[in-house]
Amino acid sequence: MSEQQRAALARILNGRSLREFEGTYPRERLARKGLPSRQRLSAVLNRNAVLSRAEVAALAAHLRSLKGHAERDLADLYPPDPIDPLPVSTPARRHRQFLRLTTRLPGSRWWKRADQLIESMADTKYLHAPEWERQFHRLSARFPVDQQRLRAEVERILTTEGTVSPEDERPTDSSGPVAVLTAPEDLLRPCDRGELFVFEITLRNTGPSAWAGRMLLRLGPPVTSNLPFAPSLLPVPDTAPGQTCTLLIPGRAQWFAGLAVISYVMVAPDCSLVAPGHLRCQVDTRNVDRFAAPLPPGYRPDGPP
Amino acid sequence: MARFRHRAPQPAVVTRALTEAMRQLRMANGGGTSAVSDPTIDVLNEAIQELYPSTLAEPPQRRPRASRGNRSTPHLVTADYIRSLEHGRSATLPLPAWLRASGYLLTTGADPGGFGSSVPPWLVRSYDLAFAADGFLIDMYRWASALLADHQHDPPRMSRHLPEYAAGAEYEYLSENFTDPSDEVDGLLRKQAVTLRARLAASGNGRVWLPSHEDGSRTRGEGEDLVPDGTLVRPGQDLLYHWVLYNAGELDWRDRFLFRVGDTGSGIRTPPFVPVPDTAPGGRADIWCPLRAPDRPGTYRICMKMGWPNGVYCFPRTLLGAMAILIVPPADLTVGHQPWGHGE
Repeated sequence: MSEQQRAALARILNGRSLREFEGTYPRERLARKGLPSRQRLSAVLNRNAVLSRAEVAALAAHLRSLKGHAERDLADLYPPDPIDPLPVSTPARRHRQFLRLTTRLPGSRWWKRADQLIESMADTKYLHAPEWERQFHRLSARFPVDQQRLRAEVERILTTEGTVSPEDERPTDSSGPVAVLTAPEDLLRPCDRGELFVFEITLRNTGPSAWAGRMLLRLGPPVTSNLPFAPSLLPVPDTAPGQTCTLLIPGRAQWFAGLAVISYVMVAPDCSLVAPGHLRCQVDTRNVDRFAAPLPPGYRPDGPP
Repeated sequence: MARFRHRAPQPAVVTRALTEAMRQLRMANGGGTSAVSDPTIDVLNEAIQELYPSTLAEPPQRRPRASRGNRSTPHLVTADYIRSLEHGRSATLPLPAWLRASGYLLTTGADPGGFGSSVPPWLVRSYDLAFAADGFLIDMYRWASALLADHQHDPPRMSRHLPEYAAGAEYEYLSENFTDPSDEVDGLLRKQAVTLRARLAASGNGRVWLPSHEDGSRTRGEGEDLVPDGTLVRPGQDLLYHWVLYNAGELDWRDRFLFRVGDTGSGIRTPPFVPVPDTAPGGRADIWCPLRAPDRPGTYRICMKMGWPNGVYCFPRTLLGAMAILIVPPADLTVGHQPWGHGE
């Protein structure tokens, strides 16, 4: 607890007796809410005790609920969360979110056909365009991926009339209808940062039901400076029980040097889970040193100017 | 393997880092190139309407006065507004005195007029929903708010001074975000409490705790095999994170800590700081930090910056330091928390 917080507490309580503070709410309710007692607050103000972070947070929240206190004083005591979280993710919310993206937007670089992408990048004279052009040609020759077809297939699946699995058919820990046939070493890709990659994933349907209209949904955002770019949704080819399918995960390595994980779960057209567990791939860009930027020219070894 | 010509990471204004992340996510989801298309604006406005239906339903003349002036309340956006915000020109933030006096702008040629945008939280939430950021932009906003507060001091330093606590209560102070910690986390916290007690006993002995040109830090991410970025975790799960830093400068590292930027109790929970081992130039520092995953699903990132006990950052111009990203999946997607098995 800092002096600033103690001073804010003194200002907030100024003009109100501690007896009045505790009298407003019975002692048992104070304890249940994690609030300090009147005696403890008195000790804090007299610098004979300190409040823990959790106690300060609970006290500030309680005082905010009472109203009548200056927000500046409350912020000095304990700043509120500057931003609210999002509503909880549900299958319906995810379905609405991704249907909006796949049907409304013209397509990210990864949904475009490779030749269109190369043409657009060459036009922009982007710094890395020649390197990426070579990478795309190499990847396109080895992996005949039609990115536009992938997006159209995801859109088709999302607009399929699908039903949420009944409660007794929801996946459980004991079921395991997906096996990965791709070798473990091929699920780890060393890359330069920003380099393009493609994971070639072979799966076997080891469950009793045919895979139809299924997708791989990425957990987390599609890209950050620490995480590789990879599409949020990819279609899974229809696969009968016991059979295998192969799908491609295109991406671009993360900008920062580090080891990062890409995780996908298997979902139905309504974005509800249909198989327990997840696919895990890793991209490793730890071949470049990260270092702190130098100080501004105005700083001297013996201190700021 | 193709190799790129990489430039050294350049320091950037805090809010520009946030708006660049927003732009990156927009483009990754089909927002095309840096140009902002009309369909992109439609998607974003639908997300704004989904999150703030009651606010947008009010007639403009009945909205709070603030909404007419600085637009701090949610509103539908235009392509021009988004383009200006993403490129850091929607508002000019006052530059801290230490940055104005540093000569940084002259040496890099950066335009002093359009230095950063003021980003309202409602727009960050809307971007997060519209472009499937899974809460990452929201957590990044918390980081940006905290670091912006730190940067406003002169010289740049933490806005939260090392708080006081009763001597001998170092363990209680470090562990207050870890109710019922695992044995592994508890052991590390007790060990770090001993180090903290020794460090603070030695403080004020005349050492100069100020940044220097001769200081430097590198990392190759060697500690990340245990918990790579993007690791899936359960709500409230405890784990230990390992950073390996190298003293790449000419100064001894002594009395240093890695300070958590932002509120240690929201998002990923950490102690307020962890000690950096004393390290000679060229040496290696192994730093361990206990983490507790948030209870709410989402993608979260922590940033720890190196500093001294007086709160001054060792590398004030850098935005980032030691980082970690964890993902808490939604409850309905986490049946069977293990990766799929391998078959033949």
